[in-house]
Amino acid sequence: MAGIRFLKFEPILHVAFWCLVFFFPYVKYLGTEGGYQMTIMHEINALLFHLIPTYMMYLWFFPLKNKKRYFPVIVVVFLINALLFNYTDSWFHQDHEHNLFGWKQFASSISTNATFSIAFYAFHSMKSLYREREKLNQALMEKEEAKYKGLLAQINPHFLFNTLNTVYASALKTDENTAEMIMKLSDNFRYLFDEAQNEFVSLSDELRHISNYVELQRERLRDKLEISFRKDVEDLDLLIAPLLLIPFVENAFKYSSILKGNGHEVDITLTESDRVLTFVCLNNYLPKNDENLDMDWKESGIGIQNTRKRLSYLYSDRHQLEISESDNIFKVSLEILL
Amino acid sequence: MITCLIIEDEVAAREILVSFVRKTPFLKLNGVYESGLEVPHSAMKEVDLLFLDIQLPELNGLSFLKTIVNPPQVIITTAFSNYAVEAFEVAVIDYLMKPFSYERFFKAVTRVRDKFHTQNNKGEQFIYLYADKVIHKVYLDEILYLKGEVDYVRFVLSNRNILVLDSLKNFAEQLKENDFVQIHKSYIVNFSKMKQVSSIHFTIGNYELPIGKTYRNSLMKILDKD
Repeated sequence: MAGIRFLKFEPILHVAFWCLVFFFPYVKYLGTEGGYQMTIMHEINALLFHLIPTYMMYLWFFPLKNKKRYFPVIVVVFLINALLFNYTDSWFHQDHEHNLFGWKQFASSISTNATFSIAFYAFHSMKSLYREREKLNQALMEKEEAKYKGLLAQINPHFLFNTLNTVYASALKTDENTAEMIMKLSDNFRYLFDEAQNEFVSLSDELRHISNYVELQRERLRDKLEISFRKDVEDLDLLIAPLLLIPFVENAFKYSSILKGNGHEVDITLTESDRVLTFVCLNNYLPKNDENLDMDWKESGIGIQNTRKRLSYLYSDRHQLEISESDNIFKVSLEILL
Repeated sequence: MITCLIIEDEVAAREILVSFVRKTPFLKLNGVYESGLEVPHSAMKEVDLLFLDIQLPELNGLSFLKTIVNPPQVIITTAFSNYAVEAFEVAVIDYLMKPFSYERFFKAVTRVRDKFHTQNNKGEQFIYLYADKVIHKVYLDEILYLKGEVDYVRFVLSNRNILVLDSLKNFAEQLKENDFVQIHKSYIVNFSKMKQVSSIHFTIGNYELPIGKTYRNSLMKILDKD
């Protein structure tokens, strides 16, 4: 989840790191009389000879597949780098004898740069770990999407909608309520075929799809459920990835509809203000019912797990999902910064 | 009156269209045909509006449309939307997906009505609104303001409210010729009914409405002009 944030801030991290390195000597001598004696140019020179080997490691060597083979190159680069550093650094130390091939200076330069390399290796590993995980997430999502599109492709939309139209015509003559239900059902099917195929949809379209679904369920489970659906949206033109919320709504109806008796509650609230979408969905349910349920029935629909994946992929650091169960109430609350 | 023709081969779809056209006060049905090729040349010339199905026997609706010289306004009716882009290329006024509700149908034909009005260059004095399964004839002069709600647009008139299943955006376009001004994401006001205005509030009747930041400048420009 932090992956995208991490990658986005990478340049800032680098700059901060090298600033620390650069100012470290000055800070270290802050209390001492006279402060740090060397000039800024001296420090810039030193920094340059840290940057060259470190970024060579970071950008070239670490991403390599067979590092063993190129290791000698690195050794040579480090040696030449140390040599050049010794040479250029001697310009700033003309007051006393400076040994160009002195082993102390060599050891100091090489060990310092090796330390930086180790730090950057940690950085590199973390980054590739995040990348790997994101790739995996994306592959999983694409697989789910392909499955979903495959299912949709098996339905012939011309047949579906023409038939619905025929049924609609006959319902218009007899029962307007039935006609309205057919219209809602048909609108929702069309949404799956058309709008939901886009990467993003408007909040108003997505809301209508959810409303239609809730209204159809209200009709179907009239006595059984006490449904409340509240919405208060400031900007209906905001964009959202399609079908993100409906799995939670489906889930609420799924688990409350199998309860015995009447008057079970489903309570859905959807609000948006300042681009923050807040969705809260509560429903009655019985945990012990879970054990007797058919797996096929349980796994029907887009599913919560898949939605979690989509959320962490599409709104990585811009959402918060909490699912809790207590006192026979199942609660989902989701906040997304659109 | 807007005269129209229906070209549709399926009985059920035809029944729906015929009943919808009859229900609409400003539409007059001149004929129903199973295919475009059946329509006499003279009949096509006389009408203002054509309801055209795409999947038709003999000749696809869009191909048929291309054969007509000076076609009337066209509303396409179809079950599925592969053709949407192509249809707008041949300049149809709207696109109805079967099954469509009367609300949706009404919206499409209102668009046609607006087009004729702007072409005739006279501002219309009333509009038709479909709400609660009733068509309301509303004089523009009665309207105080419109408020966009989640699924509806609320028309606030001097003596009643009308809730129309639509979006405010559609009405902003339709009413801008007639002295109606959007002052907020959720409000369009009848400018001639203004009582008071400050930089944050617009007072109309007994209602004090907020002025949105993004609409303030354009509103001030209109005020300066007056």
